Amino acid sequence: MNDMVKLEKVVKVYGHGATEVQALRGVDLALEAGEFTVVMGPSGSGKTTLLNIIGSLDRPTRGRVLIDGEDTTRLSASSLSRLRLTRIGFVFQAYNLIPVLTAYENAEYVLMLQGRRPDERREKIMGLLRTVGLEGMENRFPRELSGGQQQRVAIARAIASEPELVLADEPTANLDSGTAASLLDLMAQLNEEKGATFLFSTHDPQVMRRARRTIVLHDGEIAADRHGPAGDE
Amino acid sequence: MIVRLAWRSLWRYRRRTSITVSAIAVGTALAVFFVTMADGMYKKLIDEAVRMGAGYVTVEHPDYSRDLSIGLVVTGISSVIDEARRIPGVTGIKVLIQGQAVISTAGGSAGVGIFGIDPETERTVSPLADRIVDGRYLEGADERGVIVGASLAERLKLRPGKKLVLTTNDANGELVNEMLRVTGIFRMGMEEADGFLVQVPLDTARRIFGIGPDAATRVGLVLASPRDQSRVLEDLRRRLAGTEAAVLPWQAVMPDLAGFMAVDKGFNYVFQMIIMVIIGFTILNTILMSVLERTREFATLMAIGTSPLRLRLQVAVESLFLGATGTVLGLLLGGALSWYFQVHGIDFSGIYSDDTTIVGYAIDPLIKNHVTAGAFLLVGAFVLALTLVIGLYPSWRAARISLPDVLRSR
Repeated sequence: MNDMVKLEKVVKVYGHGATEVQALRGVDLALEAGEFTVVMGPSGSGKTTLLNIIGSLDRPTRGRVLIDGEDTTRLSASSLSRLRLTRIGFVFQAYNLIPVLTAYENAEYVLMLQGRRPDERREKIMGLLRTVGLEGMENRFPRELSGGQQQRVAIARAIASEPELVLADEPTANLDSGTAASLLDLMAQLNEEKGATFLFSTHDPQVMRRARRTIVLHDGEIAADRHGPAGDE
Repeated sequence: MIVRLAWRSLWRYRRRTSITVSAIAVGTALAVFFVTMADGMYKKLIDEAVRMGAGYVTVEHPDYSRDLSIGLVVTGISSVIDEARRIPGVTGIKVLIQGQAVISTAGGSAGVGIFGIDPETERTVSPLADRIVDGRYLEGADERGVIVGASLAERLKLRPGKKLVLTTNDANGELVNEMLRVTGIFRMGMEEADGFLVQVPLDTARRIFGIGPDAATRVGLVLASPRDQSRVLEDLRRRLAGTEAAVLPWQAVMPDLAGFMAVDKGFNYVFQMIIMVIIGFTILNTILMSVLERTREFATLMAIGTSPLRLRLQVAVESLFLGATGTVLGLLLGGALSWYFQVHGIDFSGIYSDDTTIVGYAIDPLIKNHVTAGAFLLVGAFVLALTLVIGLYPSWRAARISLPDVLRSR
């Protein structure tokens, strides 16, 4: 299979001199299209930095990042925006919904940026909100939703455009187990039916159990990389 | 979606947005009010000066402004008048004979400026005819009638019915004397008129100065609106091309008044600019605060694919909404205020007296605003443009954020 994501000796350094911190230390990693992978590791091990660099939200200090063969470290800011818009979906631990848009509008936003037709957008988003259990709450603003409901909107937004790569940073951290399970089912379905590649950063055993590949990060280095869920360890 | 996001983002912080919109509105209203007030003052000042003098557009001998000699006259004025009458917007045509003389009475003598005028025309166009404080204004039949200013009358102990002797040189340089009788005394409130000016009927002036019936020192055109001046000027220049006549705007005939207007307008603009700068900082502060407080929102928008350009556009649209709302409210408020004072006027008699003058021209203590579409367009366009220019910096800042830093923070 083709490598959807490829990292070559990626180093990320924050700060200078005495305050310098190496968040990633020469990471080599390849994710094939259609993988359902979990990154785990203790706090400060570099999980979020790894996801940010793969998702082109951050640039590595050294090394190369290739998305479907394209070196993202050489792309301009607007090209990276385009890449994120068309190929990558994000789920953030802090939801990061747009406060002045309703649940429906938040989920619709990416489709609108992609220039999809209004009727297509409506059908897609209403179906997704029904799937994530937010039917009837389309017109609520984020402040009118609980943390779990906001995360469900964030997940709906991330997968609405059926991206080739979904990066999810602790996506179930604020959800009850039932909701988390239904959302994971949804993402697994997207992975199986559409071949979308998923990369999770998580501490949630429920997510770890579903992973088909587990990467363990420790002090910015890959300490373990094995196929199969973390529970098989 | 940009419009929706921008509008809702503004009203998410209602109090801050309301204060900023109010500041823009008050600043715009003040600017409109002061511009229309200044326009009203200028309009009245200019209107009275040109109606009393030689009109908005003046026809004279090409050398007259340099020499002011009684021998430098425009000839063939009947054809000049015919041409002028054909131009739309011309409401009155004044024929003037202007000269210098000495008048003597038992009370003394004084140098004066003589205006030979047509009393009937003057009654309809000049404010002087309405400022008779003793006696009456001239009539066509007053072959030897003269009206004098109040200061001059006081100095020479003149009153209606009294005689005076006028001595001057005619167009041929010959010394001439003419006995005249005072029919009325006027008070314009400016010493240059009240202490120096006398008016006589046009035919009397022709006889005194020896000027033929188809000649005059100046032909002045009074217009329905000052805005017609350029058009009428160009039209008349075309019509009189090839004749020995200079067609001049009032600014060339009364350069001291025009100069004052230019300087005063300059100061007025500086004052307006100060108000605008204050408004500008208010807008900058609001939009910049709004941008700095919403870095997470902007980072999220960029993370999910919003281009930097689109994000900047959104912030620019917010500035536009802020500016447009404030400007429209300000124009309405300023328009209502200006309209009220256009009807009722503002009485400044407590600040300056009735005889206050500007470069020799009296100003009425009751100043009425002059509301024009131009004032609204000028102020509205300026405030809106200022808002957009000021919004550039916050919009540039909006897209210059570190996505990982902002998104990582909770």
